[in-house]
Amino acid sequence: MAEGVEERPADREAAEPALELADTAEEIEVYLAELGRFWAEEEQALIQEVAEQTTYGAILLEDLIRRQLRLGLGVAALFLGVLFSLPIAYLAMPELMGLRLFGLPLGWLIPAALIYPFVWVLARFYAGRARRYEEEFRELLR
Amino acid sequence: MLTPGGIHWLSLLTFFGVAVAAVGVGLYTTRVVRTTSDYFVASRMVSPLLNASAIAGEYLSAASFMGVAAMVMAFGYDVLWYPVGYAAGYLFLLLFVAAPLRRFGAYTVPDFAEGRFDSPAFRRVAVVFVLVVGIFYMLPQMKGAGLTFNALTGAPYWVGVVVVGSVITLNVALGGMKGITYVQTFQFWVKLFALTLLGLGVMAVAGWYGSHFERVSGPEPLRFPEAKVVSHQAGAVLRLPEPARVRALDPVALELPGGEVRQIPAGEAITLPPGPSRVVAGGRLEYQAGSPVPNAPVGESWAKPFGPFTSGLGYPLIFTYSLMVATVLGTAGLPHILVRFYTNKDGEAARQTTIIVIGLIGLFYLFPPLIGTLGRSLVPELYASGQTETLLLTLPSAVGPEWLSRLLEAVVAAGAFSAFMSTTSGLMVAVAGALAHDVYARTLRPRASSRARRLAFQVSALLAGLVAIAAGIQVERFAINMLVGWAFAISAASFFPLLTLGIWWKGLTLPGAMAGTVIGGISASVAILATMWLAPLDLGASESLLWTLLAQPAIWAIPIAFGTMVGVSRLTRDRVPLDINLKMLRMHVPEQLGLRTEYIRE
Repeated sequence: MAEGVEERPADREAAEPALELADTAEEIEVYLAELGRFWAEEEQALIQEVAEQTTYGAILLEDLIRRQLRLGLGVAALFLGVLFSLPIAYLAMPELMGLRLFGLPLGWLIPAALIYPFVWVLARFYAGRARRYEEEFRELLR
Repeated sequence: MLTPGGIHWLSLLTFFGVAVAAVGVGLYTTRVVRTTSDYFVASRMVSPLLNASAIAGEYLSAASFMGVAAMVMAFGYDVLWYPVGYAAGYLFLLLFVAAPLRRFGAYTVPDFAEGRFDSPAFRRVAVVFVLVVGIFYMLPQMKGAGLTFNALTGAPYWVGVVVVGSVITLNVALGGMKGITYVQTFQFWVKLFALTLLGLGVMAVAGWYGSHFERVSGPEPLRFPEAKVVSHQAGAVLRLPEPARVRALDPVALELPGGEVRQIPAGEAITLPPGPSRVVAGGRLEYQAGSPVPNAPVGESWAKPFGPFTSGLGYPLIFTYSLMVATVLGTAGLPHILVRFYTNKDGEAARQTTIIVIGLIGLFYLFPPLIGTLGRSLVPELYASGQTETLLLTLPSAVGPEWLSRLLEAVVAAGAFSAFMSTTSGLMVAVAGALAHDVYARTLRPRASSRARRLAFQVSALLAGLVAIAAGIQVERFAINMLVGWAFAISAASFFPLLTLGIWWKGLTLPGAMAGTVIGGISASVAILATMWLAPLDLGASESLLWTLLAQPAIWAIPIAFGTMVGVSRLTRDRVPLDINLKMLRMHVPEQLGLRTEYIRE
């Protein structure tokens, strides 16, 4: 679990303020304001319960986030690796980069055209995987 | 019939035709804009294909439409990183931001800043950066407008900025987001059609891409294939790799490389020596067929990495990598693009939209490198006159027959107008939205009525338009893509770290996020302002690591932003929001589980 969760105030057992004999309008107003505050705090606590859920749900969520992040970082690293090595590869492998395709050298054609379908394929791959992870998450939660 | 600028009336007609059509669609849709939600986000009912076309329409600005091709002509290979980064930016948007941001329900980055950290103060900080990035990004659009208007009508640069800027501002103020969604879609297809037709039309007459590339990428200096008349302004410098034979058509005075000033009477022919000559008294020179083209980079350095664009400051590898990082990561933080993602139905739709966008802009970006290559081959006189930026408007005249030139010119004019209109409109919606939604409705008058908020939006749009026009008049001397690259660098160093860490790392605290955003954003902005004001404008003049890092700040500003966020968050562990798990849940759990809240309500 993340840091910070333990800091949550533990004294949630405070009782609802009791209505004592009230005879003036002001006293009733004061009481209603107090009650309102109490319920606002109570609701906040409830939201936290949902957020922390059962440990099972929380573990599944952590797992979903970790898998999707790892997937994203992997695709990003692959793309950046290719991108960063392009200018170097051009100079290091002049023969390969000088190969002609449609009359254009490969070294020019990659950044000027071929890289776009590559980006598109990576995007498709990522979206498909990310969606599958989410479906698995929903299956497990049931 | 020609206009004063020497261009056919047909181009003017399409240029303004697109404007009138766009305003018309905007006005018409205004009538169906009813609610505030309609106004700001087109009611989140836009389908992925429509939304993707609108995003691509909004994204492909004057920089992509005119700037990339022009810079490819001027500098060659290194410029290809701009379109590659602009397109790959959507991959990073998809990987780290698109679906979670949509699920979180934040409309703007400031919404995210406040919602993720429960801090209205952070919202105000984020708004400042939205305004900085938005205004920075509008400058190159204004420059494109001034340049095109000048080429079409002969009117001074500032007239174009004022006329086009006013048309766009009024249109945004009237129609809001829904008003421009259909306009953006329409304009994407206009732009794609224009570049496709220009590329294919020119190749149909002048021959295939590859054969032109072959001719202009060799070790020999670039030469005029036939005699060409070039008009030189006083003060211009002509750098020649070899002697050139020219004939003066007007009386011209040149300061030759040795320092001798040579008066050339009209009609006299001389041989210019190699090296830089300065024009003292301007006029027309006729270069003979086969003479070298002044100021054109040699084919070999033009067609390969680390050429004139990136090596000017002496550190080409750092310059290249920093430029790549800025364009790739900057997209994911652009406020006008993120706003569009909110119009998706859910997180999955946001992903599908992004994939379609990558396809659409990938298709579009096949053309600027092609057109830049054709320009180098067919209109080399632009190097000599220092007007490579007008490539798109000049290239059509290089091919006959007459009717084809006129047609291509008219199509380009329509595309150019679409380019700066769509991007400026989108930016203006984002900037005016930030002022109206984040400053006015969330901070100044939280109880403002729907009507008051719309009025605030309209006033903000007018304000943003005025600032953009006033600043746009000042930037005539900067290359369009340099300006856009800078907007990307600021976005990449401020919003990208905020969004990615905020979405993926529970440990990020308010002080950490705020410190990182501010330090990253400010260091990138200061570096760029320093470059704009202090750097020698002629980038070839000095070689220094410092100037390289100032001109391309992304490579150090992004790590600083990330480092600050992580470091400060570690020191302030106790400030992790108490309901962080709920927030992670909302961002990462598919909508079907029904845990979403919307930031924009009816």
